[in-house]
Amino acid sequence: MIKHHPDHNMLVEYCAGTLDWALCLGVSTHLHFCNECRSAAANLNSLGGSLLSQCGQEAVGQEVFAGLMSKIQAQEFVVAPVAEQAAHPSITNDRMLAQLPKVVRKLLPKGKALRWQSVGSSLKMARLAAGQDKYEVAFHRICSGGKVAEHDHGGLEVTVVLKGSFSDGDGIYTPGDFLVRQPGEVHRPTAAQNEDCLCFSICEAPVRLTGFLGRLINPFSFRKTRLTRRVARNPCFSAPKFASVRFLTILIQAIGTGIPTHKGIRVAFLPQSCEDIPFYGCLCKQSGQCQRSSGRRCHG
Amino acid sequence: MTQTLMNHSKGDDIPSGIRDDNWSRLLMQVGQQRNQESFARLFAHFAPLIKGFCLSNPSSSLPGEAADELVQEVMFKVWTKAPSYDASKAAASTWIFTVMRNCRIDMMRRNSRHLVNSADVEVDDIWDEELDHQPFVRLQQSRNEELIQKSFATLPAEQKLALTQVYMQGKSHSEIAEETGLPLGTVKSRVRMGLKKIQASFGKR
Ligand SMILES: [Zn+2]
Repeated sequence: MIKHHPDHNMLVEYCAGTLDWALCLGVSTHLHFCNECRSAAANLNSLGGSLLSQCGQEAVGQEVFAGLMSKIQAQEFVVAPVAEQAAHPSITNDRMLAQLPKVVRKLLPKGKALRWQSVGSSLKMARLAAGQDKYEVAFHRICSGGKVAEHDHGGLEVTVVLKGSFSDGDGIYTPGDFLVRQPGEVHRPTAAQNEDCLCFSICEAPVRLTGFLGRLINPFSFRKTRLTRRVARNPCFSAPKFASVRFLTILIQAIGTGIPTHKGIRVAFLPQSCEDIPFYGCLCKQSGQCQRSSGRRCHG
Repeated sequence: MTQTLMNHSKGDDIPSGIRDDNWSRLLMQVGQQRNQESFARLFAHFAPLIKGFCLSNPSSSLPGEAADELVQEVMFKVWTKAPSYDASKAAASTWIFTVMRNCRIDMMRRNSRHLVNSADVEVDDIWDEELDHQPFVRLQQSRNEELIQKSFATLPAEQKLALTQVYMQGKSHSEIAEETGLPLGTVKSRVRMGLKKIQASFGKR
């Protein structure tokens, strides 16, 4: 029984096509499980349809139609491409990855196995290529009975349970449940005793600093450090300061010369002044919302 | 006067004061019989609406040419995807809206600074038509659309505006907040309240 759904605001952004691509992956996955939201989405599409049929008309030249028809005629001669082979070898041997929603299946690497990384003793993660770099899209797999170290996030995190279940202080989550964690919310998920729990996770990535020093400071995104917690709870993250971020990246790359850069290593700094925190994210004091990517200066 | 206007549609079996479900029937014909004449009529009706919809964003200053290109792209998709259209599941305008939305997402994505060409996942995988074909979604869609249209008209101006900005201008809540200077929470609650009133017209959520 699904108890946790995307809110109406997220659903309307999904249906209107204004929600971030990676978050849409999460919403679509939820829709696969949830009748209720599917019918809400159908209604939201109908709203789009009725706005379309009511909107003011703009004249379209006859040549547009003529051009379209010749395009259509040209395409009729093209033979339809051979249907893509569906099975990914990587999923066949792992029971956990059988019968995933189609949209998630599409994210699995073709012809090669997923690369699972251990993050602590009970959590494994495998990053997925989702066609964008704004969010980190990944599978999180908690082993049965496993507890994940208490952690919080530099940015928004959306989790959709795919298999098994887990619980935290707030409740139990089962397949299809859609959870949104705001930056700074601390939680400690624990998987059910009887089976592993597989989750689809979309995480607003803090600035990724690359290179040797980055790995030294924060080898795993989930490691609980005093620094990350202080940064995440600090209400005065500044708006993006590209110059300083760039400078830090260059500095770190210079220090770690010769060591191959490694994508996806996250790091959090806590410099003297809040102004210099190299985060995209910004918690606004007034709205309490993350101002990420809005490009606007923070109120606070 | 009216008479001369009516003469334009002489020979058509559908009167000019066409109802929405007639468009749906026409779209079915396009899908099943690949009827180009029906398609020409769909084009004449929907192309100016699609263009109007896309040009309703005053800040995007989409040049007329680009709007025409988008119209062409949307109607091309309408033609190719029409065989999968099912009038019992969605009114023609709703279905065309979703085709248009997907084209717009594609277009915006191509220009996004966050685009990484590493994934197979495409717009149609996320906004998957099959999802709409599953049980419980089979409401009476065209009736729904009428109800929605009516209750939308009764919304307070600010809620109407917020929903228009989301749908027609293609803006996220935070973009609206940024442009209007309203707190994000206010934008969200206007959208939510508007939707609540609309949804109240056909039952819960
Ligand atoms: Zn739901």
